[in-house]
Amino acid sequence: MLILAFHVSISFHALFPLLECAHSHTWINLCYNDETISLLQQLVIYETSASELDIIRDISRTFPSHVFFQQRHGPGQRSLYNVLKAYSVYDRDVGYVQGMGFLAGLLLLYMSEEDALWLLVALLKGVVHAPIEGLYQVGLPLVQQYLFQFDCLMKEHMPKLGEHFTQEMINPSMYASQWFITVFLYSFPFHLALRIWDVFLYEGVKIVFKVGLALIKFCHDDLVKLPFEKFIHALRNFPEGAMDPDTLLPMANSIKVSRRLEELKQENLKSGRVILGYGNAVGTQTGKQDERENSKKQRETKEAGRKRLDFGFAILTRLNDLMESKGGKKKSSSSKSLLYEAPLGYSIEDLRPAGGIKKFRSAAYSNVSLKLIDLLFHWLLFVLPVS
Amino acid sequence: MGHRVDHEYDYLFKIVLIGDSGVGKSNILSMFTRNEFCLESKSTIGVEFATRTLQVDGKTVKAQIWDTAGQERYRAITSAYYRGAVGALLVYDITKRQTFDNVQRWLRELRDHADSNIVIMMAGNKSDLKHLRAVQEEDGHALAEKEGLSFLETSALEGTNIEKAFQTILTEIYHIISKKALAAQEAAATSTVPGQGTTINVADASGNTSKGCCST
Repeated sequence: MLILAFHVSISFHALFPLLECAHSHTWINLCYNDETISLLQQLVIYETSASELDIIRDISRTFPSHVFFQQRHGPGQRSLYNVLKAYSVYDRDVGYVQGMGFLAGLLLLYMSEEDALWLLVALLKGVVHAPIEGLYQVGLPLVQQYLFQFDCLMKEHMPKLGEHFTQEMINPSMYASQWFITVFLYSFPFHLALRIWDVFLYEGVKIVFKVGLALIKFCHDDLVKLPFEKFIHALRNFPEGAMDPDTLLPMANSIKVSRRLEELKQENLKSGRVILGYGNAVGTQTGKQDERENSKKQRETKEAGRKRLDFGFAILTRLNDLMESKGGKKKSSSSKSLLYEAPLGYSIEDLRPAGGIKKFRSAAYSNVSLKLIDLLFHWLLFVLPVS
Repeated sequence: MGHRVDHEYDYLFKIVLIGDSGVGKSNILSMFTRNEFCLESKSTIGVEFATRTLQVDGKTVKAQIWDTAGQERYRAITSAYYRGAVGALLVYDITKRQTFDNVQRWLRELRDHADSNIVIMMAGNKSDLKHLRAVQEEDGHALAEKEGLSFLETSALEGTNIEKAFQTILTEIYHIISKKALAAQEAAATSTVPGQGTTINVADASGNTSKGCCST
């Protein structure tokens, strides 16, 4: 039943758009729900961030043609600054990285600064899905991993085109970095990005791979004939037909990637592949120094990955704890014991900036069934014409 | 990339655009390749790419230009694009001293990742913003001289010196390649094995043929 419901809801997501008014509520609920904790201002006003100037420089360069962010020092730009600064204080290791503004900007179109901040935290720290902070950490380890996975998937799904890519020395860092770093917000039509985000918040980064593959599949017959330069151009300027969510999302949804993604992730970690030097394919010269650097970076990446895992466990455990202590939704005992037995690398206190956060928002949806029930409820509420 | 030699050009030169975030790299590129300046430009994520074909000393040269994200964190991706580049346009913003001070770091970055013979041109961009100037033109010249770089102040907004900057860098590359081609021919004539150095010289590869590609 649960599996059936899962598939129904995923397909539903892909096939039908959420009503405009439903985005805010559904998105927040997909990531967490709890009483509001007003800490954003504290982070913005009382803390300083090394990234402040970087953030200010990019504020007017984030969704520059969107009416909400257009006005210089207007409400949109101010909110964007607040959320980005608060995040850079909250997570000083990541700080601010170009691209994050597009995520924060999208969220701000549908919710308050406070909600946008915590949703960003939930997303990057992986409260529900796998963490994606690696997209922005030093060395961009997750970007490198995703690009490797995408390259392999693309070649497996479309071998003929894959061969063409190899011949022309085209690698995904030339066109797909932005897809992952901004989850399609950088250059895709807004209505399409929004539909992708509905699925992204529900099922995680998988949808980025699926949409990416669907896009290339859609243009396959044209792409396979194109030389390098025209190819790159085509991958930046997809035809209108490919930008129709009702065409693209069902197509993306039909592509299965989960199992291979996991296998490729393991392969990437195990093989000693040059993760951070993945873009090496761009050039032809490699040297011993590079190899040394790369293996060092890879060790660091592995270490970071292990820490993330510990961190994920710690958050989930703590969240369960919070939910139970305040008489929240009950967790199944099996998952609880699994989580409690996991070694804790971090505690929730580690998340708090100095003197800052009193309490972390809990994620009521660390359990898939709860998430589904609520989601289906919202579908009924928003999709059916109820007054 | 670009191995295929067609009849559209005699040479293909790969150029990278580098420099701190917000100095105007993307607009320099759009001005040069499309004659467009975008006031509402987004910060570059990863890399962007554009080409333009022009005449250099009577030869048709295609400039294949990679515009890179300026934020330090992105060097994990962008530094791979320095490889195979025969030219670099290192841009700073004349209204922001910090971007000029960081030129040294960018040069180090090139030394670490790019070919040692790469031709570098430094460009002090936003020269239209005279009232906000924080770096004097003489400082630019002095640094360029010290580091052995070409130098121009540019304005992508007004189109000042954009054409000249690329023309200069492409001409310089072309001259180096012509010399090497000549040297290689002479060396071949005297049965000496060329290219004994440890450094792989990108220019050598194309210099041996009348039509070639310098982009790999």
